Amino acid sequence: MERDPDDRADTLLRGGTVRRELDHEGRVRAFEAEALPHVDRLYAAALRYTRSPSDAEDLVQEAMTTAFRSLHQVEEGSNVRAWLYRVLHTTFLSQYRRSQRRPLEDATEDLEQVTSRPPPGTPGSNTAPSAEQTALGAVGPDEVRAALAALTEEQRVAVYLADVEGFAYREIAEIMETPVGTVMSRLHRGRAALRAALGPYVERERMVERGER
Amino acid sequence: MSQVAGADGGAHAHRCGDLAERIERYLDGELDAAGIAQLRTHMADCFPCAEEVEVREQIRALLRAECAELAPVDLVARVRARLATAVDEGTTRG
Repeated sequence: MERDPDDRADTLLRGGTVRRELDHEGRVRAFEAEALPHVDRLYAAALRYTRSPSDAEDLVQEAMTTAFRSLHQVEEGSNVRAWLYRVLHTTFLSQYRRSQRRPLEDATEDLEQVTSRPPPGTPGSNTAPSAEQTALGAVGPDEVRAALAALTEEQRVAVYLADVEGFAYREIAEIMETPVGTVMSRLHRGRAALRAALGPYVERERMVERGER
Repeated sequence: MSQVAGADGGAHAHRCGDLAERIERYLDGELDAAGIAQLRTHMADCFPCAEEVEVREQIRALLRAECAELAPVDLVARVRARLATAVDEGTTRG
Protein backbone atom coordinates (compact mmCIF):
# COMPACT_ATOMS: atom_id res chain seq x y z
CA MET A 1 0.00 0.00 0.00
CA GLU A 2 1.53 3.29 -1.05
CA ARG A 3 1.49 6.16 1.40
CA ASP A 4 1.72 9.83 0.74
CA PRO A 5 4.33 11.18 3.20
CA ASP A 6 2.74 14.63 3.10
CA ASP A 7 -0.67 13.33 3.98
CA ARG A 8 -1.26 13.78 7.71
CA ALA A 9 -4.47 11.90 7.39
CA ASP A 10 -2.53 8.60 7.28
CA THR A 11 -4.11 5.23 7.86
CA LEU A 12 -7.51 6.35 9.09
CA LEU A 13 -8.27 7.43 5.55
CA ARG A 14 -6.89 4.27 3.99
CA GLY A 15 -9.22 1.52 3.02
CA GLY A 16 -8.97 -0.10 -0.36
CA THR A 17 -10.96 1.38 -3.16
CA VAL A 18 -10.31 5.01 -3.86
CA ARG A 19 -13.52 6.90 -3.36
CA ARG A 20 -14.64 8.47 -6.58
CA GLU A 21 -15.21 12.17 -6.67
CA LEU A 22 -18.82 12.58 -5.65
CA ASP A 23 -21.27 15.27 -6.61
CA HIS A 24 -23.11 17.01 -3.78
CA GLU A 25 -25.98 14.55 -3.74
CA GLY A 26 -23.69 11.55 -3.78
CA ARG A 27 -21.69 13.03 -0.99
CA VAL A 28 -24.81 13.66 1.07
CA ARG A 29 -25.89 10.05 0.53
CA ALA A 30 -22.48 8.71 1.58
CA PHE A 31 -22.46 10.99 4.60
CA GLU A 32 -25.98 9.92 5.61
CA ALA A 33 -24.94 6.28 5.52
CA GLU A 34 -21.44 6.45 6.99
CA ALA A 35 -21.25 9.49 9.25
CA LEU A 36 -24.66 10.53 10.55
CA PRO A 37 -25.28 7.26 12.45
CA HIS A 38 -22.38 8.26 14.73
CA VAL A 39 -23.88 11.57 15.85
CA ASP A 40 -25.14 10.33 19.23
CA ARG A 41 -21.78 8.85 20.18
CA LEU A 42 -19.89 11.87 18.87
CA TYR A 43 -22.10 14.06 21.02
CA ALA A 44 -21.22 12.00 24.10
CA ALA A 45 -17.55 12.32 23.13
CA ALA A 46 -17.96 16.06 22.61
CA LEU A 47 -19.27 16.35 26.15
CA ARG A 48 -15.97 14.94 27.39
CA TYR A 49 -14.23 17.88 25.72
CA THR A 50 -16.61 20.75 26.37
CA ARG A 51 -18.51 19.49 29.44
CA SER A 52 -21.33 21.80 28.40
CA PRO A 53 -24.29 20.44 26.40
CA SER A 54 -24.70 23.53 24.23
CA ASP A 55 -20.97 23.69 23.44
CA ALA A 56 -21.01 19.97 22.69
CA GLU A 57 -23.84 20.48 20.20
CA ASP A 58 -21.91 23.27 18.51
CA LEU A 59 -18.76 21.16 18.43
CA VAL A 60 -20.55 18.20 16.81
CA GLN A 61 -22.17 20.44 14.19
CA GLU A 62 -18.88 22.10 13.37
CA ALA A 63 -17.01 18.78 13.24
CA MET A 64 -19.66 17.15 11.06
CA THR A 65 -19.55 20.06 8.64
CA THR A 66 -15.78 19.73 8.42
CA ALA A 67 -16.10 15.97 7.98
CA PHE A 68 -18.63 16.47 5.20
CA ARG A 69 -16.24 18.74 3.33
CA SER A 70 -13.39 16.26 3.75
CA LEU A 71 -15.32 13.10 3.03
CA HIS A 72 -13.82 12.80 -0.45
CA GLN A 73 -10.40 12.22 1.15
CA VAL A 74 -11.63 9.13 2.92
CA GLU A 75 -11.25 5.92 0.97
CA GLU A 76 -14.14 3.51 0.95
CA GLY A 77 -13.72 0.75 3.52
CA SER A 78 -11.46 2.82 5.77
CA ASN A 79 -12.08 3.53 9.43
CA VAL A 80 -14.70 6.26 9.05
CA ARG A 81 -15.76 6.03 12.68
CA ALA A 82 -12.26 6.66 14.05
CA TRP A 83 -11.74 9.38 11.46
CA LEU A 84 -14.87 11.20 12.67
CA TYR A 85 -13.49 11.21 16.21
CA ARG A 86 -10.29 12.73 14.96
CA VAL A 87 -12.19 15.44 13.12
CA LEU A 88 -14.00 16.11 16.39
CA HIS A 89 -10.67 16.25 18.22
CA THR A 90 -8.98 18.63 15.80
CA THR A 91 -12.11 20.78 15.55
CA PHE A 92 -12.16 21.15 19.32
CA LEU A 93 -8.47 22.09 19.44
CA SER A 94 -8.74 24.65 16.66
CA GLN A 95 -11.90 26.21 18.10
CA TYR A 96 -10.40 26.36 21.54
CA ARG A 97 -7.22 27.95 20.27
CA ARG A 98 -9.19 30.43 18.20
CA SER A 99 -11.50 31.38 21.03
CA GLN A 100 -8.64 31.77 23.48
CA ARG A 101 -6.44 33.65 20.97
CA ARG A 102 -3.41 31.95 22.41
CA PRO A 103 -0.15 30.95 20.71
CA LEU A 104 -0.28 27.38 19.49
CA GLU A 105 2.52 26.16 21.75
CA ASP A 106 0.72 27.24 24.92
CA ALA A 107 -2.60 25.76 24.03
CA THR A 108 -2.14 22.19 25.24
CA GLU A 109 -0.75 23.20 28.59
CA ASP A 110 -3.46 25.78 29.15
CA LEU A 111 -6.05 23.31 28.05
CA GLU A 112 -5.05 20.89 30.78
CA GLN A 113 -5.04 23.57 33.44
CA VAL A 114 -8.37 24.97 32.40
CA THR A 115 -10.21 21.74 31.87
CA SER A 116 -8.83 19.95 34.91
CA ARG A 117 -10.49 22.57 37.05
CA PRO A 118 -13.87 21.37 38.30
CA PRO A 119 -16.77 23.20 36.70
CA PRO A 120 -18.54 25.77 38.86
CA GLY A 121 -21.18 24.37 41.14
CA THR A 122 -19.74 20.85 41.31
CA PRO A 123 -18.26 19.33 44.44
CA GLY A 124 -14.81 19.92 42.96
CA SER A 125 -12.00 17.63 43.95
CA ASN A 126 -13.77 16.45 47.07
CA THR A 127 -14.39 12.87 46.00
CA ALA A 128 -14.00 11.41 49.46
CA PRO A 129 -17.07 9.36 50.35
CA SER A 130 -19.42 10.78 52.93
CA ALA A 131 -20.16 8.68 56.00
CA GLU A 132 -23.52 7.69 54.56
CA GLN A 133 -22.05 6.68 51.21
CA THR A 134 -19.34 4.67 52.92
CA ALA A 135 -21.91 2.85 54.98
CA LEU A 136 -24.06 2.10 51.94
CA GLY A 137 -21.19 1.55 49.54
CA ALA A 138 -23.16 3.57 47.03
CA VAL A 139 -21.57 5.08 43.96
CA GLY A 140 -23.73 7.21 41.73
CA PRO A 141 -23.49 9.54 38.75
CA ASP A 142 -22.24 12.41 40.93
CA GLU A 143 -19.18 10.48 42.06
CA VAL A 144 -18.38 9.27 38.53
CA ARG A 145 -18.86 12.76 37.09
CA ALA A 146 -16.60 14.32 39.72
CA ALA A 147 -13.92 11.67 39.15
CA LEU A 148 -13.98 12.28 35.38
CA ALA A 149 -13.93 16.05 35.87
CA ALA A 150 -10.79 15.75 37.99
CA LEU A 151 -8.80 14.23 35.10
CA THR A 152 -6.86 16.34 32.64
CA GLU A 153 -8.73 16.76 29.39
CA GLU A 154 -6.25 14.53 27.57
CA GLN A 155 -6.61 11.76 30.15
CA ARG A 156 -10.38 12.04 30.12
CA VAL A 157 -10.60 11.84 26.35
CA ALA A 158 -8.14 8.93 26.13
CA VAL A 159 -10.01 6.99 28.82
CA TYR A 160 -13.32 7.76 27.14
CA LEU A 161 -12.09 6.56 23.74
CA ALA A 162 -10.73 3.34 25.25
CA ASP A 163 -13.24 2.43 27.93
CA VAL A 164 -16.48 3.73 26.47
CA GLU A 165 -15.87 3.65 22.72
CA GLY A 166 -13.57 0.63 22.76
CA PHE A 167 -10.94 2.06 20.43
CA ALA A 168 -7.56 0.33 20.27
CA TYR A 169 -4.42 2.15 21.44
CA ARG A 170 -3.36 2.65 17.84
CA GLU A 171 -6.70 4.17 16.88
CA ILE A 172 -6.63 6.52 19.88
CA ALA A 173 -3.11 7.56 18.88
CA GLU A 174 -4.39 8.52 15.44
CA ILE A 175 -7.49 10.26 16.79
CA MET A 176 -5.46 12.32 19.28
CA GLU A 177 -2.52 12.61 16.87
CA THR A 178 -0.01 11.46 19.45
CA PRO A 179 2.33 8.45 19.83
CA VAL A 180 0.93 5.17 21.16
CA GLY A 181 3.23 5.43 24.19
CA THR A 182 1.66 8.77 25.09
CA VAL A 183 -1.81 7.26 24.79
CA MET A 184 -0.83 4.44 27.14
CA SER A 185 0.58 6.84 29.69
CA ARG A 186 -2.56 9.04 29.55
CA LEU A 187 -4.70 5.96 30.01
CA HIS A 188 -2.56 4.69 32.85
CA ARG A 189 -2.61 7.98 34.75
CA GLY A 190 -6.24 8.67 34.08
CA ARG A 191 -7.29 5.24 35.25
CA ALA A 192 -5.08 5.40 38.30
CA ALA A 193 -6.92 8.57 39.30
CA LEU A 194 -10.31 7.01 38.59
CA ARG A 195 -9.25 3.89 40.46
CA ALA A 196 -8.29 5.99 43.48
CA ALA A 197 -11.53 7.98 43.40
CA LEU A 198 -14.03 5.21 42.59
CA GLY A 199 -12.23 2.02 43.62
CA PRO A 200 -13.15 2.26 47.32
CA TYR A 201 -16.86 2.41 46.46
CA VAL A 202 -16.61 -0.57 44.15
CA GLU A 203 -14.51 -2.57 46.59
CA ARG A 204 -16.98 -1.89 49.37
CA GLU A 205 -19.90 -2.97 47.22
CA ARG A 206 -18.07 -6.17 46.35
CA MET A 207 -17.36 -6.86 50.03
CA VAL A 208 -21.01 -6.35 50.87
CA GLU A 209 -22.01 -8.72 48.06
CA ARG A 210 -19.65 -11.35 49.37
CA GLY A 211 -21.17 -10.93 52.83
CA GLU A 212 -17.94 -9.78 54.43
CA ARG A 213 -19.73 -6.91 56.08
CA MET B 1 3.76 -20.58 59.58
CA SER B 2 3.40 -16.82 59.46
CA GLN B 3 7.00 -16.64 58.29
CA VAL B 4 6.16 -18.79 55.28
CA ALA B 5 3.09 -16.73 54.51
CA GLY B 6 5.16 -13.57 54.70
CA ALA B 7 7.76 -14.94 52.29
CA ASP B 8 5.00 -16.01 49.88
CA GLY B 9 3.39 -12.62 50.17
CA GLY B 10 6.64 -10.90 49.27
CA ALA B 11 7.24 -13.01 46.18
CA HIS B 12 3.62 -12.64 45.23
CA ALA B 13 3.60 -8.87 45.60
CA HIS B 14 6.60 -8.68 43.30
CA ARG B 15 4.97 -10.83 40.66
CA CYS B 16 1.72 -8.87 40.86
CA GLY B 17 3.57 -5.56 40.60
CA ASP B 18 4.95 -6.74 37.29
CA LEU B 19 1.44 -7.65 36.20
CA ALA B 20 -0.17 -4.26 36.80
CA GLU B 21 0.53 -3.02 33.29
CA ARG B 22 -0.45 -6.38 31.88
CA ILE B 23 -3.83 -6.20 33.58
CA GLU B 24 -4.49 -2.86 31.92
CA ARG B 25 -3.52 -4.20 28.51
CA TYR B 26 -5.66 -7.27 29.17
CA LEU B 27 -8.73 -5.14 29.87
CA ASP B 28 -7.98 -3.09 26.75
CA GLY B 29 -7.86 -6.18 24.57
CA GLU B 30 -4.24 -5.36 23.73
CA LEU B 31 -2.66 -8.60 25.00
CA ASP B 32 -1.79 -11.45 22.66
CA ALA B 33 -3.16 -14.95 23.24
CA ALA B 34 -0.10 -16.10 25.19
CA GLY B 35 -0.26 -13.06 27.46
CA ILE B 36 -3.97 -13.62 28.09
CA ALA B 37 -3.43 -17.28 28.95
CA GLN B 38 -0.56 -16.44 31.29
CA LEU B 39 -2.55 -13.76 33.10
CA ARG B 40 -5.62 -15.98 33.46
CA THR B 41 -3.50 -18.77 34.92
CA HIS B 42 -2.08 -16.30 37.41
CA MET B 43 -5.50 -14.89 38.33
CA ALA B 44 -6.84 -18.35 39.03
CA ASP B 45 -4.38 -18.53 41.96
CA CYS B 46 -4.24 -14.86 42.89
CA PHE B 47 -7.31 -13.33 44.48
CA PRO B 48 -5.93 -9.74 44.59
CA CYS B 49 -5.16 -9.73 40.86
CA ALA B 50 -8.49 -11.33 39.95
CA GLU B 51 -10.24 -8.84 42.20
CA GLU B 52 -8.32 -5.95 40.63
CA VAL B 53 -9.57 -6.96 37.19
CA GLU B 54 -13.15 -7.11 38.50
CA VAL B 55 -12.89 -3.72 40.18
CA ARG B 56 -11.50 -2.11 37.04
CA GLU B 57 -14.20 -3.70 34.91
CA GLN B 58 -16.83 -2.30 37.25
CA ILE B 59 -15.26 1.16 37.07
CA ARG B 60 -15.39 0.88 33.29
CA ALA B 61 -19.07 -0.05 33.53
CA LEU B 62 -19.66 3.06 35.66
CA LEU B 63 -17.95 5.22 33.03
CA ARG B 64 -20.05 3.70 30.27
CA ALA B 65 -23.23 4.37 32.18
CA GLU B 66 -22.17 7.94 32.89
CA CYS B 67 -21.10 8.63 29.30
CA ALA B 68 -24.19 7.25 27.58
CA GLU B 69 -25.74 10.63 26.79
CA LEU B 70 -27.85 10.83 23.67
CA ALA B 71 -27.69 13.83 21.41
CA PRO B 72 -30.73 16.12 21.39
CA VAL B 73 -33.30 14.66 19.00
CA ASP B 74 -32.95 17.52 16.53
CA LEU B 75 -29.16 17.51 16.33
CA VAL B 76 -29.01 15.25 13.28
CA ALA B 77 -31.54 17.50 11.55
CA ARG B 78 -29.43 20.55 12.35
CA VAL B 79 -26.31 18.82 10.98
CA ARG B 80 -28.22 17.93 7.81
CA ALA B 81 -29.37 21.51 7.38
CA ARG B 82 -25.78 22.70 7.47
CA LEU B 83 -24.63 20.22 4.84
CA ALA B 84 -26.69 21.98 2.16
CA THR B 85 -24.47 25.05 2.39
CA ALA B 86 -21.26 23.34 3.51
CA VAL B 87 -19.63 22.89 0.11
CA ASP B 88 -20.18 26.47 -0.99
CA GLU B 89 -18.80 27.81 2.26
CA GLY B 90 -15.77 25.60 1.84
CA THR B 91 -14.99 26.90 -1.62
CA THR B 92 -15.60 30.56 -0.90
CA ARG B 93 -13.52 30.51 2.27
CA GLY B 94 -10.65 28.88 0.44
